Amino acid sequence: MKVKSTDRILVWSLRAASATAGSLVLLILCFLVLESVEGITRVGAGRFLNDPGWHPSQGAESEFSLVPMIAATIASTIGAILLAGPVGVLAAVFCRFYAPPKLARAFRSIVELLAGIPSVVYGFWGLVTLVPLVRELAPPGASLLAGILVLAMMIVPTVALLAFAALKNVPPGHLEGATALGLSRWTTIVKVVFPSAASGLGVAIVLGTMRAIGETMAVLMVCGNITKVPSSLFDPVRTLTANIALELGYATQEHRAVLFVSGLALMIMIVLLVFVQERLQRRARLA
Amino acid sequence: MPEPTRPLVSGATLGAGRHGASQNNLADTVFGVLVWGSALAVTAGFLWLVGEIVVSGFGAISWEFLTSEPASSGRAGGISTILVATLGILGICLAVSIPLGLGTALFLSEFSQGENRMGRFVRASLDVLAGVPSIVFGLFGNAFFCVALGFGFSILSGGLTLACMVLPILIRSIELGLRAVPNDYRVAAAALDLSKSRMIVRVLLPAAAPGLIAGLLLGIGRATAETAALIFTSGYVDRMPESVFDSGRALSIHIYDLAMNVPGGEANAYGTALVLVGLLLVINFVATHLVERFVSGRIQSA
Amino acid sequence: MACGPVSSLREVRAEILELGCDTPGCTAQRLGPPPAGALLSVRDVSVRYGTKVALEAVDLDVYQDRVTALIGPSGCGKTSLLSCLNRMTDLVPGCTVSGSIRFDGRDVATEQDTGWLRRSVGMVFQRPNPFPLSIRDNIWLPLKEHGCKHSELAARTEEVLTQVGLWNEVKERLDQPALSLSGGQQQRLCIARALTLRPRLLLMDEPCSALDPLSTEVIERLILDLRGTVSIVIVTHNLAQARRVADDVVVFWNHDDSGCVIEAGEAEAVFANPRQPDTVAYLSGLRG
Repeated sequence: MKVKSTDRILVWSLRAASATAGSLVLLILCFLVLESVEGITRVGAGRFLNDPGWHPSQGAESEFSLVPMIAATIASTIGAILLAGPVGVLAAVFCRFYAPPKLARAFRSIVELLAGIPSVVYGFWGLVTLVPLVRELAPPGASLLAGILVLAMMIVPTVALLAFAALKNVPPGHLEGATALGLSRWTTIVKVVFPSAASGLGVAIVLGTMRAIGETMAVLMVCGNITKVPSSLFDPVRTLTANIALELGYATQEHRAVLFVSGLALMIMIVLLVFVQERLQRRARLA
Repeated sequence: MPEPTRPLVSGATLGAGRHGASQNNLADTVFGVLVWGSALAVTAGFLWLVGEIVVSGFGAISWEFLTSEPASSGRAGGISTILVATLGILGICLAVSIPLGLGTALFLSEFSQGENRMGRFVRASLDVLAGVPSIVFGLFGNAFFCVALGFGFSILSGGLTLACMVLPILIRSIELGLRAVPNDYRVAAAALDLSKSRMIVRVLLPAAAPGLIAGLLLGIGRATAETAALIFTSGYVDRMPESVFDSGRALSIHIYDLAMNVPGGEANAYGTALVLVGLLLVINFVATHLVERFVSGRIQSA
Repeated sequence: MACGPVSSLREVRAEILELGCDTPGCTAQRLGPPPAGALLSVRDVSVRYGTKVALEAVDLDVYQDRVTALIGPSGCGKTSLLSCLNRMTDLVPGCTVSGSIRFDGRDVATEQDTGWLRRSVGMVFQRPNPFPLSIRDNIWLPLKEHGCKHSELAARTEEVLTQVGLWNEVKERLDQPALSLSGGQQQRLCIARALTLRPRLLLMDEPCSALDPLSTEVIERLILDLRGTVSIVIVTHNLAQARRVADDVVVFWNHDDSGCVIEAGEAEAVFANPRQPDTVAYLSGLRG
């Protein structure tokens, strides 16, 4: 087929744009790996787990244990998703099945607005309102608990919006069938709607988890940033992301390289979760 | 994306037989309480957060605040330099991400139908890119733009880093907009032997304009809200930037710095937060309504 | 053979045996005298979508300045054949066309210059699909693309809009969106848009199926008016329409899930005197 010359230029420039956009991820991975190499070879991968603590800039006596940060990231993520998962899904159920149309519309706008609020504002709000409240329960206030609460608040909108989309995809026939059988709302939703939307709800939870793992500013501002494995909810902690944000400014040599290692670790976790999400999404589309 | 929210089967019709077995009745009630409770909790959280920012921030905001430079590390004075730096970063970000995003979206929606390896590769890598944490973008931007390319801590580095970051959301929403254009137009154009370029410029882009603008606004919103990716790329110098190679402090970083590192900076942090949230609400509001207006109405063009 | 189209099946079968025809199948010999020189001739064309055969071994001819109607039950490949004729099949992933299609002495299937082909063979679609632009721009867009001088644009616009009888209706509001027109007007605009390129052959894919009876009548009259200016191939499942507008008729049928041509010829001859029992049944409303 004859292609006009303007079209040929167009196609090639579009291809160039796509190639650039598509290879960005590889470029990012490349740079993370490149900058991490020094950390892995000079420090040794074992020390990230076995060193007694995190004291990265003391020359030969430096210690590079990432364990406290990994523990903090895992704890805060799990805590946040345990809170935000159910609340987000139930909020979506409210919007879809409980609220009268006008209220549903208003509620959805609220959730959309919450989704658009920047993380630094969540962090600031947590710092000035939640941290003092937690301090009254148990000092110092800036703690794992405060982090979990702010994170949960942040990811509820993500979970709710995606869960809502999943609930909307439940075939109306299922609902009409359930109604015709005189099933109660509880039975209809738990026995008919949830199983039918399971994959979509899974996607919502996974994307929420991804946001929680990657979130920096909010946890940086309310968690207290002490590099110790937490023993209670009220202990101050420092997540992987916060650690990078706090130290990249002055880190050099091995220290800088180890920060890139932790960035690489975050990236790998995210890639794994993206795969999970994609499988779920494919299932949701087939269902 | 906003969609009509009216349920197909409303709450009123669903569960008409709620007075069935008594244990179901109890479960139904408990479940209802949980559902309403969750909705209330979300609403309360929203009111608390926005209320706190508005009530405490309102006092700080004035014309003076918006137009004067920060003084004594931001405790006093305003945010004029911060606004300029934010606009600069945003400008760089859009100048790079719009052509790249539009090109990629056009490629994906118009030139990679069916089994196309390149299309699949681009899609998959964008999916991953969308999930990359912002701090990792910060690491990458620092290593690539600041160090490897030698741009240092600058508005340019920050803008370019943000461009990488908003690309997935931009491409996804532009592609959605393009796909929403009925295929009839493409077929008709082909039958008239219109070149693809003319079809795209004269028919496709005008027809998809509202979707494209909404996508653009979402991208702008995402970029304006970003903090972590900027700390180590655009830096936090709060002087008036003189060129794109100067470091500049974005609104979000200003809030962070005032809240964490400047004792007594809280009042101005509230003010800045209110400006930022206000800005984002306006952007999101316009984007939502633009889409709704054009989806419900006929697509027309000048 | 004095029997009309409503003669009983048995009689027709007897006649076929008498004439020594083969058993019913995918063969079609022209009924009535062939006009000199076919503008378009299709030989042994098959269309596949992936592994599904939509159309098997089709032969047909389209003659200069005549209206050829492709009729037959739905799903028998009429539209597939139509879209081979200007290679719209290129746009369908997985679609392959075999056989030979000669138009104006050139082979359509291997034609390098699809631009020439699509300019010479215009197309009108089932649903009116004006671009979401003004009425004027709908006409100007193809004109400009194909190098019409700026000074001629207005004259050509008036010419084609007059041809489709739309000029008096829209001349005051050429700058209004084309989508503000009624369905019938939109379809006429699409016909005008196809005529801008002065095609020699115009393909129409059930152009009235999305329209009301009154608009249908206007389009049918338009088709009759255009006869002589341009050759037309029209797909329709409306037999009465084919009777009203067609000079030649090609009857498609489904055999084993793929379409083929069972009868072709001058419209009057085919309607008055079909040879194939399936045609008889279809024309008399017994099947299809």
